Amino acid sequence: MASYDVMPDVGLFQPATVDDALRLADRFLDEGWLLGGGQDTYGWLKDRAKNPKALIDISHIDELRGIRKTDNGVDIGAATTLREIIGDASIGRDYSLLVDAARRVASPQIRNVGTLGGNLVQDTRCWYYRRGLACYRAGGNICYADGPQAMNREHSVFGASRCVAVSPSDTATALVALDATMTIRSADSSRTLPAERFFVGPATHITRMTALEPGEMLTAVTIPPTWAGKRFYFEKVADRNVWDFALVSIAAAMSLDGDAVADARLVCGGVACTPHRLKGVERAVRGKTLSDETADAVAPLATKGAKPLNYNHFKLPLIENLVRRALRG
Amino acid sequence: MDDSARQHSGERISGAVGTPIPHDSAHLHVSGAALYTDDLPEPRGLLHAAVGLSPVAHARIAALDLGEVLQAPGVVDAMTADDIPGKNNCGPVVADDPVLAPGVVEYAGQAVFAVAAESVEAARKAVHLAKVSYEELKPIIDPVEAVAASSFVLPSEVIERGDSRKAIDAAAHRLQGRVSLGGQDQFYLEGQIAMALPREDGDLFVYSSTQHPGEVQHLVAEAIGRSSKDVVVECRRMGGAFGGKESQPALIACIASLLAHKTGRPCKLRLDRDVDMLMTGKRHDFVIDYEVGFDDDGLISGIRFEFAARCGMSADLSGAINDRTMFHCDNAYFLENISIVSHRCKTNTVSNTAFRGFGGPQGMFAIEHVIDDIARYLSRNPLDVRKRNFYGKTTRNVTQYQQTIEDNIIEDVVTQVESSSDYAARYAAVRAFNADSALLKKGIALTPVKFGISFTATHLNQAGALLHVYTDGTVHINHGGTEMGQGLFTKVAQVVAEELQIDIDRIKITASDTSKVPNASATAASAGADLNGKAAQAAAQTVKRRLIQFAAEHFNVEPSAVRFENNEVLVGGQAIGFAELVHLAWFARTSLSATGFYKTPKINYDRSTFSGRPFYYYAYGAAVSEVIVDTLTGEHRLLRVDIVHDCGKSLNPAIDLGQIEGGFIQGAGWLTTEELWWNEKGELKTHAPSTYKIPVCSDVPEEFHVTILESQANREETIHRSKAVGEPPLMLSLSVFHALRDAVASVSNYQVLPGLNAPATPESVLRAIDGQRAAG
Ligand SMILES: Cc1cc2nc3c(=O)[nH]c(=O)nc-3n(C[C@H](O)[C@H](O)[C@H](O)COP(=O)(O)OP(=O)(O)OC[C@H]3O[C@@H](n4cnc5c(N)ncnc54)[C@H](O)[C@@H]3O)c2cc1C
Repeated sequence: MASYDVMPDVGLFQPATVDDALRLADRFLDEGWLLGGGQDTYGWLKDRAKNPKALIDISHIDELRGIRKTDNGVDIGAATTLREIIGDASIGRDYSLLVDAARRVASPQIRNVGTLGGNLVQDTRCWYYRRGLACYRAGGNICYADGPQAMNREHSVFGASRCVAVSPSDTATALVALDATMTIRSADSSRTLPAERFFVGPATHITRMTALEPGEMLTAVTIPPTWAGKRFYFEKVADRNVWDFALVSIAAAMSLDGDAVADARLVCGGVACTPHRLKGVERAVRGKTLSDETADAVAPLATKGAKPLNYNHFKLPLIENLVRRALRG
Repeated sequence: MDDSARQHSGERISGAVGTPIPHDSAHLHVSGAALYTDDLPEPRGLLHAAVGLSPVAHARIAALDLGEVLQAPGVVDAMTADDIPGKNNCGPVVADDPVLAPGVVEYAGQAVFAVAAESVEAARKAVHLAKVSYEELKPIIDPVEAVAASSFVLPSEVIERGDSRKAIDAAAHRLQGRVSLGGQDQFYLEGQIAMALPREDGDLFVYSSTQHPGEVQHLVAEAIGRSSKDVVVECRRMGGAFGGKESQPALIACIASLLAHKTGRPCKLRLDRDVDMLMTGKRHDFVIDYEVGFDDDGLISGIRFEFAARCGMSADLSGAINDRTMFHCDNAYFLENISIVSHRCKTNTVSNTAFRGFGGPQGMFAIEHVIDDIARYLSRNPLDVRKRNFYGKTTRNVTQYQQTIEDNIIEDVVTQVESSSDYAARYAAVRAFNADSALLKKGIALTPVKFGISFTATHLNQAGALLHVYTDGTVHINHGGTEMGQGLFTKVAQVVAEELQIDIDRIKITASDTSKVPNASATAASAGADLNGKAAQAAAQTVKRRLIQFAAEHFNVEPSAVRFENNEVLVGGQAIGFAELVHLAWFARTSLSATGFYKTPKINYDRSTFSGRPFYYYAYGAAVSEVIVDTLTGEHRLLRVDIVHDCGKSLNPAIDLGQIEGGFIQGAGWLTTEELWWNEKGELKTHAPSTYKIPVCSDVPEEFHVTILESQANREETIHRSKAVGEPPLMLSLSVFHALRDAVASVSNYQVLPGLNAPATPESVLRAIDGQRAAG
């Protein structure tokens, strides 16, 4: 277990435009590393578990910053800081779910510099993987977290495939619930993906958390007007009040028709390698009124098919309880 | 020297005893200018060390090949146990703590070999090139297993008074139970570090982040095969220590020194956080069995405790720590018929060590738990049961170790916090709230603290100081204590300022240094200011006496007519500046340098019978905590805390307040968020802040009312009648744990005893809530 507490020597580029940044990304591919606020990055570099040749700092590129209202909803530049999102009045009014989620990220200091892009693209917090062990996710052929002696209380209960790491991002659950669209660019192309497909599990690509290919950049996130001003619920359970990742979190967006639920998207964080949609619950709750009875009736659906590891059984009642609270009247 | 010069009286020097001046280094701490060991200028040719740790808990080292390590870029040298010229030991009391594993490893994280290289990175990288093969042996990991196997680092100890068996059997009510109580990492911000500089002719100068420079000096000297006179150890300050730098720094300093000695070049060893947590000792975790008999009012007639502490692979300070558990499992209660059995379990885990409270917190945890159980069993307000069992002032006032408590103020303290916190009304309000609230539950608890002050090993209760006065009237003070952020140096400087009646900015506070004050005890047992304050005062008094004598002769007055006041010396009817007098005295060939010495009076204690007076006095306090628990998630928040704490006549109320607040929060972390988790193979899996969670700013309750008990001078003649404050407040945090128990118990409408172990993480609170529902 190598452990260091000093930064390595690494190249630093500070391009002024997205095009320049993408050209650099294209040049370095796997050996380049986009740098937002650095709050995930620095840990990797300090520990020597990832050793890029060049950091491409995109945090000062104007095109990537800011929040704009458009006909398609609202566009948030990928280098916008979490603090800026939390402080934005229109997001607060229409999409408070995102604000509630962003508010629970880490600490004020980290939110001051951490970017939305960085928060979404951040790597998993599996401590075995982060220590630089040659696990599946690091290209090796073993999962250290899924053994009888392993500490895996923070790991997945859904969707594991060799790797049992979980998605750590608080904003990811909110953006999947809000059905956001991700804009992705590379030096010579541009594409969009629904948030839900932006995050990929180990069965799809075991060494990545997102659909980004080397050389690609997330440039913006668009939240559609579909859910503006609807009923939202966010809750995150952690060992500590602040400065701690979710053990389980829930982000819910619901539209009501009178008293009854017309449509709902419920997404759990901390339970799978991607934000985990509770589709069974979503289906069951449609047409029902929000109440304790509804909540109790559908909550058990949330853990159907869950496969807890040795030490994370406690996540199952947490998932159900968060669903209960999201659906109470 | 006219009359007006004397009119100054009434004005006081700055930094007098009792004034709330800031920590002497506060401006340096906040601006980043305070020099910690790693900040010192690095000497030319400095090598950096890294340590190869055992990955397994118990094994024979079958082969150890450092060939590739030595070939690695930047590596200059490496060593194993075989290369140690002197004694391979850094154990503080018993010589059972090898610096480098001698053929057998006894815990995962034990140092097996060490590397010196040109850079930190080169050294740390090279460590992983070693080829070590281990023949694994069966480890013993937890204390229960150790008791069953009679695996102990030291013999089990017993205290008995009266006939607890008979008393319990005859009691109207009986309860028994088992609780487990987690350990705690000290988590000082500045990790363990030492830098060793070879001096001429094989001597060494060692900068060490240590609470005990003298011990580092002795152990380093022994390791390199020299004697104490050849080694000097210095420490200006530590970035926190909390007991974790009482015995542990010797290991770090020995490795750096051995490599410096071997290579002839200066060498620094700085552990990174993971290595620090894996390699160095922590607070002992315990499994506690109890049995108690009591009457309808909850008055305890007989009690039996069996403590099993995970000591780890060596004795370290575990003897004294577990003794203190036995001394504090009464807390503030008279336990007439009592039997205490204390097992010091040898396990294949890191050797546990000192941590603020030094075994006391675990003892108090035990009795508070029992009292809480009794109250819940009888459906009584726990505070009534606590009061029912308090020590008396003149009767029921002898501890289980035969010390008569002469300074009992626990009722005053409790009464004060009971009323300032409005405990009774809030206790009722909590119950009313819970009756109406299905998911959120509140809990409240008041717990007292009575903590004995002195090292229980009598010989350690001594201190020395060295004081110089320069001809410009400024002063250099040195003493055997160490500064770890607790404000000791500030307090000692205040004592000297008061004695010499000069402004505190005329006094230079200097680094702890074994060449200035020899053979000092560790700065520990909360006794730093008590001991070193007195020693410094004695040194100041010696110089002052000489100055008085000189002044009397020089100005031809009676010595009794010479008075020091506000930077001046009054001689008969005249006033002369302190500096002026000093200069005159020097000119007249007066010695302006003195040592001071102090030993705590009255204490005496026979360890073979566990009886006598181990403590000079007791420090008291009480706290009320209110929590709210989310029964769907187990998460909880501390809503309000009220503390009344006894500092005697505080030397510095600002610093004492900081100690009370910090101690309380640190204790709350121990009991709620900080979890040391070993797997069955004995690997510690929570060894960084990612998984080991200390409290942060926002865990401090919004309503946090701390009161220092007004003008309760210490009955004993301590330094300016103050009381020690380092450790006692930590145990005030037991109120948080019991408030959580109270909230959990509400789930069964207070019908079922809450099965909550410490730390009460959200996960374990949720489990306890489930237990309530299942049983209810
Ligand atoms: C102590 C601590 C506690 C934390 N707690 C939480 C928490 O509670 N909840 C939570 O959600 N997170 C938490 N985090 C993670 C932190 O919030 C994120 O690391 C941070 O938001 C990342 O943003 P950044 O801009 O600093 O990312 P960076 O470190 O700059 O980047 C992170 C990753 O994203 C990539 N990246 C950045 N921007 C882009 C882009 N535009 N396109 C493509 N790739 C990009 C980088 O290459 C890198 O791989 C915590 C982190 C720490 C250190």
